[in-house]
Amino acid sequence: MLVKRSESAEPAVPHFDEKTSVRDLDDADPALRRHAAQALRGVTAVVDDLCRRLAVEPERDVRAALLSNLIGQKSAEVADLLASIFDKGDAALRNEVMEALWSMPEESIDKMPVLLASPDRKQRLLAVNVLSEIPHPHAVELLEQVLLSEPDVNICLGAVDGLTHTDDFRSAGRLAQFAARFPEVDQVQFVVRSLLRSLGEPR
Amino acid sequence: MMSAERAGAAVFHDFTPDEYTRFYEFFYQKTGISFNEKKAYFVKRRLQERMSVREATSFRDYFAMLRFDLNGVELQQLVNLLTVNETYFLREDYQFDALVQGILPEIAKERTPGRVIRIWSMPCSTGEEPYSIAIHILENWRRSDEFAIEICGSDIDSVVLAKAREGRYSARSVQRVSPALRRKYFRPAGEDFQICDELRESIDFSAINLIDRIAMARMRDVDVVFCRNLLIYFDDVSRREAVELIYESMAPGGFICLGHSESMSRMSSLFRPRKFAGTIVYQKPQRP
Repeated sequence: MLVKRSESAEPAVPHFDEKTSVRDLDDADPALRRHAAQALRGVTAVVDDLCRRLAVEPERDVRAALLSNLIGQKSAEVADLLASIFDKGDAALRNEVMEALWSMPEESIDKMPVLLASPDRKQRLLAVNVLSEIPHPHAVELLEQVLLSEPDVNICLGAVDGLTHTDDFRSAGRLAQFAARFPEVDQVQFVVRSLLRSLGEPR
Repeated sequence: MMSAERAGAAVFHDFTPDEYTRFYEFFYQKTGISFNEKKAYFVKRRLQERMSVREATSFRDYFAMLRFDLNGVELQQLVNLLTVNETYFLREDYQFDALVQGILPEIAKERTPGRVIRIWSMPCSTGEEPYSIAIHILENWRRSDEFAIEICGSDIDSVVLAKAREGRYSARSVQRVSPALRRKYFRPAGEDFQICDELRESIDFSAINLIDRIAMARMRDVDVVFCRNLLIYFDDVSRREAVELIYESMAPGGFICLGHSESMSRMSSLFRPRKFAGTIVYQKPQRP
């Protein structure tokens, strides 16, 4: 039976208090935490609170609200903060951080050389993963640089994978140099040989 | 600088890139709708139309009028001009099959007879979608009399909502409706078709801007959302926010149906895909 919805009252404009909302980010009730993350949209002064909460937040829908807030406020500071919590949680958090950095290419790209130079392997891996999908013209150049200087062969292979995602794959020369850096690693030789063959390059 | 010249009654304006960007950003902030470069000509033509109507001789004057128009009438006029509203009855009706064959039976399993099942069509444009949903349920779900089914239609465009409430449609709009259903749910009105009063009076139409948190708070505990071919007009940031507000409006375990070219998996991980009657819909988990 069809019934017409009864007139709903005009929703009241919620009272917003920044301090209360920041406190609510850590409330035991996930609904309150989620509302706090939404209420703090556009409040630049609280991006570190949002990132701090994101690193420990177990509820997916609260994390989504925190991420939307941070992505909406995209800045170099937000990109820095997101990179700093990359390895603080589980795989879901790592994926979300990457997704957020992809969505702010201009703000993220300058952070990438810093991450690639980090002594922390996880930070370098994050950079390669971000560069593999980020829509930015400098990404290819930075990934090629990884092939020439990164000591960890698995991170290099991640960069090769990223380069194959680019529309204009033109890194044949770099691939050969990469293969020469790891002559004893069969997987590297196989991957490079296969890619060069598919590009029609002699090896 | 913008050039303006009079040619008869009309005023022609050539927008500078800076003016266009200012307008674009303002409109985006207010509505979440973004236009790509390919749409620039379309947008500029509509802006010119409004400038002529308001007799604004410069973009600066018109933009000031738009920004400081406290009751939002001018912005609403622009929204009405810049949004696409073409639709027809029983469009993409495979999703209505999914509704009656899978979604509603699943919701009904957990609900006592007599309770409300709330369905929301957004954007509803001139009303074809919510009326189609109503007809499809009445015709194809045998348990429809056991529940109080509320169907709401919302749109950002006030002109199309007035047409939806009126319920009068061209022959082209009802061409996919069988003659038997036309006889049952419509009556002739000149060359047009008038939706029957029973349907017209049972659907609640309201103006809602999807990215307006306060307005969206009016919609709560929605069991099924039809949000087809809307989110494609949003950029990534607005789309994320819109999806979250829709999520908020839905009952736990509720379903959302998107357009055939849209995929929730590319927008958000909040929902899980389900397949009914050969089509993918997305479900809000009972618990996050």
